[in-house]
Amino acid sequence: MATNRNEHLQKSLDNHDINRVEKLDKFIAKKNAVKNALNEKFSDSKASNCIDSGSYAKKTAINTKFDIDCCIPFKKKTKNDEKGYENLKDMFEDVYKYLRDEYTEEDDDITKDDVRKQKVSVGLKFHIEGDEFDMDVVPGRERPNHNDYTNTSTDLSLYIYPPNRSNKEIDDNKTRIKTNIKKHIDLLSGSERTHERKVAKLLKIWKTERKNKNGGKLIKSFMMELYTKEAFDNAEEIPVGLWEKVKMVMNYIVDNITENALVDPANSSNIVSDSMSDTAKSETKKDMKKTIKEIDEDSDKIKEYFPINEEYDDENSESASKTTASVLSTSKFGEIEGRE
Amino acid sequence: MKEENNTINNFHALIKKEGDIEIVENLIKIENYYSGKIKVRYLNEVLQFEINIPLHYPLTNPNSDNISIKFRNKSLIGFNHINLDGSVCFHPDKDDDLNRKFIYELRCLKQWIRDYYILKREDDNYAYLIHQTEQKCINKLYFTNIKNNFKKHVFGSFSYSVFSDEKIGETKFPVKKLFRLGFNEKDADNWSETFLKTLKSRACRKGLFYFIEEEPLNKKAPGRKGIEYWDDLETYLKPEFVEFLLNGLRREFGKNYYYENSLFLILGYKIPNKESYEEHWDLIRISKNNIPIDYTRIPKNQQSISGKRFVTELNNKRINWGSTENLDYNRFFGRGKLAKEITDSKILIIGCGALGSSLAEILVRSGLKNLILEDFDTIKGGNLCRANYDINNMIYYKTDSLSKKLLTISPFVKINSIPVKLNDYDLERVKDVFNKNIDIIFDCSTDPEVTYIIDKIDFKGQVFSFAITNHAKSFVSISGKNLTQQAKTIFDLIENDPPSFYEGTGCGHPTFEANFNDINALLNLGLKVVNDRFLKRGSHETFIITPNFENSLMINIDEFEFYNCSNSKSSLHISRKALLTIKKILTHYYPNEYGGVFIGYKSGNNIIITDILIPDSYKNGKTVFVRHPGSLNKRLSAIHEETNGKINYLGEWHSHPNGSTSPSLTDLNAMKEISDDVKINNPNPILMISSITKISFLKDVYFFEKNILQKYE
Repeated sequence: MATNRNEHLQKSLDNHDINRVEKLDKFIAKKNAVKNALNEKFSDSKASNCIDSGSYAKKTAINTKFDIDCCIPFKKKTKNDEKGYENLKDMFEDVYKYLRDEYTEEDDDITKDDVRKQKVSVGLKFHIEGDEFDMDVVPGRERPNHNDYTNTSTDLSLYIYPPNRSNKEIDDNKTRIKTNIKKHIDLLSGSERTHERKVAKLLKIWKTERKNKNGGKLIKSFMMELYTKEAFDNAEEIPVGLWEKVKMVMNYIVDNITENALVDPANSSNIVSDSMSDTAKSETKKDMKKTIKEIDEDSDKIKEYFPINEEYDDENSESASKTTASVLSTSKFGEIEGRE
Repeated sequence: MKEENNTINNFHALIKKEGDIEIVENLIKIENYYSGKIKVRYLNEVLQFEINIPLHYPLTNPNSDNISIKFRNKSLIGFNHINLDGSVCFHPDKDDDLNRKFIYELRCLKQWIRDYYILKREDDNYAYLIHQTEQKCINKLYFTNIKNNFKKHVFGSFSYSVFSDEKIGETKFPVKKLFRLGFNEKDADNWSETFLKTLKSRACRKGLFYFIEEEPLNKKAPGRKGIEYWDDLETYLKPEFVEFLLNGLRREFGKNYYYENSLFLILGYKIPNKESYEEHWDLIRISKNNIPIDYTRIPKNQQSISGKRFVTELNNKRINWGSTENLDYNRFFGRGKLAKEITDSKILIIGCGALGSSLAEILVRSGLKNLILEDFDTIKGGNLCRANYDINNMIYYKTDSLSKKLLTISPFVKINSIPVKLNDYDLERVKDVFNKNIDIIFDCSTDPEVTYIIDKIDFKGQVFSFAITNHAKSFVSISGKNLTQQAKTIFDLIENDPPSFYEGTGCGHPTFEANFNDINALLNLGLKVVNDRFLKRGSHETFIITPNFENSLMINIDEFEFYNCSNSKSSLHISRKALLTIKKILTHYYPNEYGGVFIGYKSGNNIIITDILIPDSYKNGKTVFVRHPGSLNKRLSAIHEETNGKINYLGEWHSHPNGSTSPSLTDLNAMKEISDDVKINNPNPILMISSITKISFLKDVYFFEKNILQKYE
């Protein structure tokens, strides 16, 4: 029996919904605890309180491989303002040191070894009552000086931790990235991007499955989100049905990923696609092409590429009946004469 | 007093018991509520709420549906499910157990905090942005979906019609309904041609539009909070527009931009719908006398090279929000319409009396776009009660009054009228016009001349000739070829007392008796059958609806396949129910032959088969079927008596498993014997042969005459 592609994608979306994560409450509480701690420790040098970033803030998160990110914006040290940081490396190191040495002392759910330096962030791995929870803290330094970091025009400078750079970045001798977290968060926000967010989530589900099956380096989620936005903006007409929409974006990626540079909307000199190797790009292109072809030819394939999250699939539980039908044999009735 | 204290203490105790909630201010009775303040600590977030519990808790608030406790915090306006007054919007289940309901509502509050405050969860369906609309008047703009493909920051003018301008009640509260006409010639709102005429006959004006693309939100507030003051719109409107608006308001806009000294501005933005996005528009009223833009002179020494002498900027006056509603066809009929094959067809209703006038309204309310009404008659007191007219319509032409009425129901229907009889026209003309311009005809005239005409013009579309018999005993819908003949047969044979109601005195044409309820119950059911056939793409057969409340409450609906045998000038209607039963039985006995008899009406050579009888004494094999009389005669006799001789034996049916539908010699001989048998009293019996295999079921029917079995087509 043929699979209804759109129905299946909707089902996949539903059970990858982040709200199904019961431990979400614990993770949120932990995220808030870390934010509060950072806000207090760096109360003088921070430009404003930590803000949520990452897919959770962008509303494109799925519940497998779930993490929450936050960004702490720092002031830039100037003649007029002694507080803040002049040097990006110091900023990065201070945050790292605080989290590894001081924060882990107050929090039982994390040890020193679980704090590591990543490319532009410090990664934290928590074990909360048996559940693993990852969190990234991105330290950034403001460009124009504003104390209230809600204005979209405030850019941030991020430090790139040298050992984690890509080849191209090493070649270009890149040590910092200028970006605007708020702009990234707003990329797919608002009611006028509702359909884009659905597609971005489905692409994430697809990517997670590819990774599970084949491993290897695949396209970054942020890039997929950017491509999704571009594909919708460039579309003459938005196609009907979830599968057609996903296909439209995948085709757009296939057409563009190895041909054109993908530019950061927050900083035009940031070529986001440079962080991906050529091999990874062509692998992704091949993979997407294959996905489209196979699903178009055989609708059942969609279950392989966009799996259901078994953990949250509540369909099969209550359907079967627990009883069986009656099986009668012969029964005799009638009135017997001459008896009481 | 004591009771109140007990109630309050109980609430306090429940709050403490629930946990995570601290009482900041104790509850006290203020008018109709127990009011206080609480602080909720949940998941490391702390939020404070005013709490208002209705006096008669656990009963809900008397004037609102399903709202009991109000938890309010004005700083939360903008978050999902927070009302304009800062109260959390949820609709808890009704319960008469106070303690249980109270704990449940406290938990709902925590759930809200988790889902919408902390997780900022989005609901699947888009919720419109709500503005603080003007309190002293109501201005509402209605529009449809136009594919403008506007880019962000495009602005210009649009036109609208003041459909109604009323002052309501003692305070003469002004209510204006505006219908948007469009942005320019080709980007017009898709109201029907007829409705547009109405709109254009009212006062029409121009207004301004600006496409902001994203919702107008107060960016300083969390969540989705609407904007209240003009300066908050600054990030949405380009300076050129502000200048343009200022200059226009001060002198450049002509009189046609104002209605009662107000200029209307609409802001457009994208909102999601099920599959894609659409444009939504919000309405702002700008008073000519209260321009929301300030301009200050730039001191000469600061004037730049561009020579600009003034700075224009939006000031902090309140925005006069009106309201809008998207009435696009698919939304207007979103809750239900009839099949596309009906709504998108050009439909002619012949006869706008009891049946036709009600039918017209049902069709229009169900999404019909193109309607033509025909009737030569006027409305009188006597024919009003069971038709779709009112006292104001008396004296006037039915078509006229009905058109006007229908236009007050749907802005999407185009209506044309023919206020004369079809006989007024030349047949060729009728044929030409009908075949070019009409897809479906509903003949509600009860005038046989109409079926004469339709039969003659070889109409290519669908026809449904509706009629209700006297005392509403049955509803009949006739479709297909030979409408006149079908009508004659059916009305001769089924219950039909001749029309009996005479109006007043003098010579008048009598009419059938039936009340409004009868007519509409049957008409609606009949239309439901027609609609069902369209939806299932089935064929449209003649059908009859007969309510039968004799013993149990039943409504019999049966379709009749119609056949003609030109050689014998015989017509045949066969009940579909009977055919379905036959199919079931024959399939059951396959691969052996089986059969039975037909009963029904007969008048001359016109036959209506209504039912079958199954023999209880027979012999059958793969190529033979012998039917003994058994109890058949007893049954036939009983039926004859019950129906006063109207329903009798009509003929035979049997199967040829894996064979053909042609009669064998044996079959022919059997029919001859039956024809000759005086006791059977039917010289022209019917024979039906079904060819049945594992996967197929075919049939042919024959009329026995002059020793030959003539086939029906």
